[in-house]
Amino acid sequence: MRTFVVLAVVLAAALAIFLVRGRQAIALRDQAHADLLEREQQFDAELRRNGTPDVEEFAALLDEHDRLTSAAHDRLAQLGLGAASAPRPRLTDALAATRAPALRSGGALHDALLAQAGLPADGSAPRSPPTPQERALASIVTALGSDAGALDVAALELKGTGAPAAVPEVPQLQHVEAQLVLSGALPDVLHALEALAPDAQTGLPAVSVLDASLRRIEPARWGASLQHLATPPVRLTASLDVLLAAPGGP
Amino acid sequence: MSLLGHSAIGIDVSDGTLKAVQLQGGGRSLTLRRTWRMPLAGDTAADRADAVAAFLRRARPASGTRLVLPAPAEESATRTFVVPVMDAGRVAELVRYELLSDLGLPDEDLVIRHLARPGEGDLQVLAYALRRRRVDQQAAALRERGVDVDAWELPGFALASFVDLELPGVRDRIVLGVGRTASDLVLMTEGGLWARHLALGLESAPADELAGRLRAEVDAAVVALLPGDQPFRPQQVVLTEEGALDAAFTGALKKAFDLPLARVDTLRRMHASVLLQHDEQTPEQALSSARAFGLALAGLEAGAFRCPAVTGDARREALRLTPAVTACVLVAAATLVLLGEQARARAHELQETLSIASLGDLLDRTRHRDELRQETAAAQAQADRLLSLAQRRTDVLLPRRALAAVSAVAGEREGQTLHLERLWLDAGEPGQAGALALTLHAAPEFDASLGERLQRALAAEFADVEVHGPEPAPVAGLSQWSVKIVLP
Repeated sequence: MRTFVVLAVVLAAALAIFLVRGRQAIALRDQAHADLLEREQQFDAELRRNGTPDVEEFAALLDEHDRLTSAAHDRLAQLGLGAASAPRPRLTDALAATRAPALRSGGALHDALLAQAGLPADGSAPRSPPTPQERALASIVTALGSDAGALDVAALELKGTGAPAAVPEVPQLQHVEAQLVLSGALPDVLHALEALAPDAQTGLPAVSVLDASLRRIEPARWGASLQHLATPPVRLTASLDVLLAAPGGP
Repeated sequence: MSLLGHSAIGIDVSDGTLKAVQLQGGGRSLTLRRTWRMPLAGDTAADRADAVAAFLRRARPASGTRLVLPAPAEESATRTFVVPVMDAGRVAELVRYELLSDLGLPDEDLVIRHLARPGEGDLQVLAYALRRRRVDQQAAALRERGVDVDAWELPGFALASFVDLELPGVRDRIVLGVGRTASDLVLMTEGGLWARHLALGLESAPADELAGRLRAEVDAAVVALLPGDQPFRPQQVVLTEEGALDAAFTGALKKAFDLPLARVDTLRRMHASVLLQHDEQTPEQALSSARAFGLALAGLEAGAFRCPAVTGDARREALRLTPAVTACVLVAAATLVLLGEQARARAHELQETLSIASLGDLLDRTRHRDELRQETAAAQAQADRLLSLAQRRTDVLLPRRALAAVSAVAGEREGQTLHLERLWLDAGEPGQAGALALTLHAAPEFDASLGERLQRALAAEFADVEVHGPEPAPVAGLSQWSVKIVLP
């Protein structure tokens, strides 16, 4: 009898343990199984969507990213961004320094350029800091250089309002487009065209050519050496792009 | 019941000494596990019950072990009937009728049992009758001492069962179980089994006299019990119990019967356990305890002449199930507990599998990869754009190179009209290559060869050159040539 009592107690204890802990554990197991199925579906969906990103893929992506970032940095440097640029002359100073007659004071384009730059027409020294328009025009005039005396500049104007626009994909830069028409001897025109290029040493603003057209060069003057081509004049029509540092940029 | 099979203890208290044997049966094998020997204080029912109780306290048999005692055989009677095959109820009625007629005693004074043994055609029925008062007296004595056993067997039948098992192949024989205070006489033939319990033992008389008195008892029994039409020609006398160990008595018995004397000196049909123990006796003494062996055989339901006079109550049967019930309960309890713990372990395992953290990690890595891809694409676009902007530095030098290349052709014009009408430079955009276009006007004399000459001259400077012409020029009398150079 005592044996049966002990057995009954043991069985009751086991049953109690099962009711208290076992059923809870079974419910926990069932819930864990349901959760696992849900996670597996999420996992499967994620794998179907993107595959499994592994270490090699991340390393390759990071390498590619670093390479491109480095290339972009180098190219920005080539365009002059980040260079310790020397102080650029104001437009009035540049116009005073150029030897192109149309650009100098009293020239056909002088007042119009000042107006586009937002500067007073009387040629007085500006008090406000240069606007992007003024800096763009000053850069173009400066790029044409002091050798522009032989050039007949027919037009130089900013496109539209001259307001700078963002350069797509390059948040560090913005640009202003301008139209330049000039004529002169072929060497002078070629020299002027080649001067309209970014220079890493001078920094921003940097002038570049979007497109250009040269017209009418007499074959009688072609000769063996281009250095001797002087006349008749050729006409250069160029769309220019002046790159500026974006506000807040480096 | 044990894990190794059934177990039974035969406890013989019928001849002045308590002798017990524990046998274990598994399948067809029988194993001797332990023997005991204890003195008996007297030969009354109370003395026997005291001895059995003391023995059980000492031996502490498992609850599943069957316990078999000898039935009180004093004044018992045995008969063998051969009857036609009939149903068990009619056989019992016939046996009862014959015994009551033969003994001349009222039914209520007797406990009658019989064992039907199927033979060739007819049914051999071994029957015996005990005095009810002796049975009741022994039962009361055992009950007073809290002794509960599974069965009582007639000592003579138990003796015959053991001899039949260990010494088979003898047609007629006399079996004598001679103890200290009493003896059992068994006449075994092919035609039946007869037993008498005699109040004669080694302590009753000297050996020669005892042998003579036993011879007389045998002769009387043969005359009184065996049927006259079946001649009894015993081939041997089998001597067991203490008498078998008494050399003087054995010698006297040989003289008295003039028959070969056989003893069970080794076990042939059962083997000894490696854990065999003999308590308070020698192996020879243990082997002489034929009645105890026979009782144990009856407990294992292996005795040829098993015919219990009294069977134990249902409580002992229930107790015998205790190990199995215990095992079942423990297994069930362990299963319940393990079921819960296994579920808990499984839950933990499932939670660890494809864990939320790893899923979150995957999502983070995927998101990080998408961001990195976007940033890389943006860097690529920026690099392409900057490359395009930087390319403008060299683009402005291209007109000079183109003019220099064409000037070689112009040098060979030999006074004919050939001039460059227009040069167009397009710096290009990312994904759109820049171009340099030349438009030339030439005299018709150049129509045949100018294209090839221009192609050759410009190809030295530029990789991708296309020359088209001649076409009619806007200026009359001249041909127009177009050159398109795709910039790298």
